[in-house]
Amino acid sequence: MILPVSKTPLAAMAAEAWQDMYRGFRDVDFWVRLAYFDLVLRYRRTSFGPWWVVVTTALSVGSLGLIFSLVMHQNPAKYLPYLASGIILWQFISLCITISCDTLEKYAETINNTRTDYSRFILRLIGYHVLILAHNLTIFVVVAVIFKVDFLVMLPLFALGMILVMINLYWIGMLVALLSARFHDVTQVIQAAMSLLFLITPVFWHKQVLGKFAYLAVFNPLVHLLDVVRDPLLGQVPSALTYEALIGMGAAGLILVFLLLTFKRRLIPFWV
Amino acid sequence: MPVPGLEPPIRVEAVSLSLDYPVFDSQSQSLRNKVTRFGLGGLVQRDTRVVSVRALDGVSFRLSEGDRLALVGENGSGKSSLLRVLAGIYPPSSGFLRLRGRVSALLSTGLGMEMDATGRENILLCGLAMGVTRQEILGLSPEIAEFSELGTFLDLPVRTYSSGMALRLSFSIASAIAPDILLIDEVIGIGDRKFYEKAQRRLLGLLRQTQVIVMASHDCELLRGFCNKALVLQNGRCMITSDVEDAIALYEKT
Repeated sequence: MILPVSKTPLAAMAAEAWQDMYRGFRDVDFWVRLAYFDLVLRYRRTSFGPWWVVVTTALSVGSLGLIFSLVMHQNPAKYLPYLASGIILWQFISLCITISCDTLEKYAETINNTRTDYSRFILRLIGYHVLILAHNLTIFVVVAVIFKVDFLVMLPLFALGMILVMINLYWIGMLVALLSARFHDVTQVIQAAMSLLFLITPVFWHKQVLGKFAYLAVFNPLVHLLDVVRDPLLGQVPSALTYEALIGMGAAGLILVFLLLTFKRRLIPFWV
Repeated sequence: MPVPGLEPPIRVEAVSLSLDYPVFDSQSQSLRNKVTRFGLGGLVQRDTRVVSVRALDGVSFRLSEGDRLALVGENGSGKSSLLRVLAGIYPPSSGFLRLRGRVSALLSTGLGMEMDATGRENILLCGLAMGVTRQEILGLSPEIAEFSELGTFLDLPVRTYSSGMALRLSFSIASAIAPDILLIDEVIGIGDRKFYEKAQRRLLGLLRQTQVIVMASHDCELLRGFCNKALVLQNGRCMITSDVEDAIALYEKT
C-alpha cells in the first residue's frame, strides 16, 4: 500500500530508511562490482589506466616533499613517509566527501525511473575511491621501503582503521549527498570547505608545530579520520581518543542519516 | 485465466490519487533562502513556500488480473507522473494506492547504459540498474543476447552502436524480465521494421505472462491491439475510464 507522506505511519517510513541502509551494506557484491566497473570503464581507453592517478599523486608528493623538507627544515627520511601517507589518504577522504555531493544528481535518471536504494550510490563511490587508494598506496610503499619505515607490523590496525574511515565516509557522503540534492549551494560550500580543511588539518605539517594549541586539533574530525589510518602506516598506534571519536562520530552520523532518510527519503526523486 | 463465476483478483487499486510535484528552482532550492529566513526572522518577508504543480488530481481506477490499461493524454497530462506513482517512485500527495505483486517499470530506455562498456557488460549493468539481482540477470543474459540479434557486436562498446542498435539492446534487456505488474512509458520505434515486428511479438508474449499492464502511449494502433481498458488524462484529471475505442475517440477529439 502506498500512502501519501503525510499519512504514512512513521514506523513504515523508518522501515524504508532502514531497508535502504541495510540493503546497501548487505549487497556488497553489487557495489563492489559496480565500483570495479566504474574504474575499468573510466580508464578503458588509456594505456596506463588508473596508474595515471598514481603518476599525478606521485608528482605532488615528490614536489611537495622536496619543497617542504627544505622550507620546514625537515629530515626527508622522516618527513617524506609522513607526507606521502598524508597526501594519499587525504586525497581519498576528501574526494569521497566532495564527489558524494553530486552523486544523487548523477544518478537522477535512475532515481526518477526506478525504485532504488540511495545508499548503494554512495557505497559504489566509496568502493571506487578505495580502489584508487589501493593504487596510490604503492607510492607510499615505495617511499616506506626507501626510508625503511616498517608499515607491515601495524597492518591489522590499518585494516581496522580503513573500516572505521569507510563507515564514517558513508554517513558523511550520504549526508552531503542528501543536503546538496536539496540545496544546490551545499556542493559549493563543501568544496570550499575541503580546500580550507586541507590547510588546517595536519596533512603536510605536524601537529606538534601548533605548540600549546596542539590540543585544538582533536576538535577537527578529519584529524581522526586521517590519523586512524596514517599512524599504523607509519608504524605507530593511533591514540585511544581517535578510536573513541570515530566510533562516536560513526554512530551519531549513522543515526542522523537514518533520521534524514526516514523523514525525507520519499521526496528525493523530486529533488534531483 | 479467470475461473468462470469468480471475479479475477484485484491487482491495482488507486483511490483519488493526487500528486503535487514540488518545483525546486534556484530560489526555493538555495540554502540562502532558508538561512535568511532563519537568521533574519520576520525581517525579510519573502514568499518561500515551495511552488508545486498539480500533476495528478483525484485519479481513481481498479485493475484486475488480466487487465491492460492504456493511458492516453496529451504531453504533460500526467501519464508519466501516474506511472511513477504506480512504480512507487513518487509518493502521492493524497489518496492511496494498493498494488499486489512484483512491479516493474519500463519508464526509460537505456537506463544504466554505459557507453564505454560492451553490450554484454551492459546487460548486467542495465539489469542491476533496473533492480534485478545479479544471479537473475546472468541467467537471462544468453536469452537477451540472442533476442537482440547483435551477435559479435555484443563484445564491442555500446559507443560504436547505431542508436537503433542501442535501443534494440535496451529493449531486449528490459523486456526479458516478466513481473506481475508492468508499467510501460512510450514504447516507440525500436530499430528497423523487422526488429520492430519481432519486438511487438515479444511484447505480446511478455504481456501474456504479466498479470497487469499499464501502458502510456500516443500510438493508438498499439493501444488498440494491446489494451482492454483505457484512462484518458487531461491536466492530471481522469476524464474517462472505459474501453479503448471510446477513449481514443475522446482523446482524438480534444
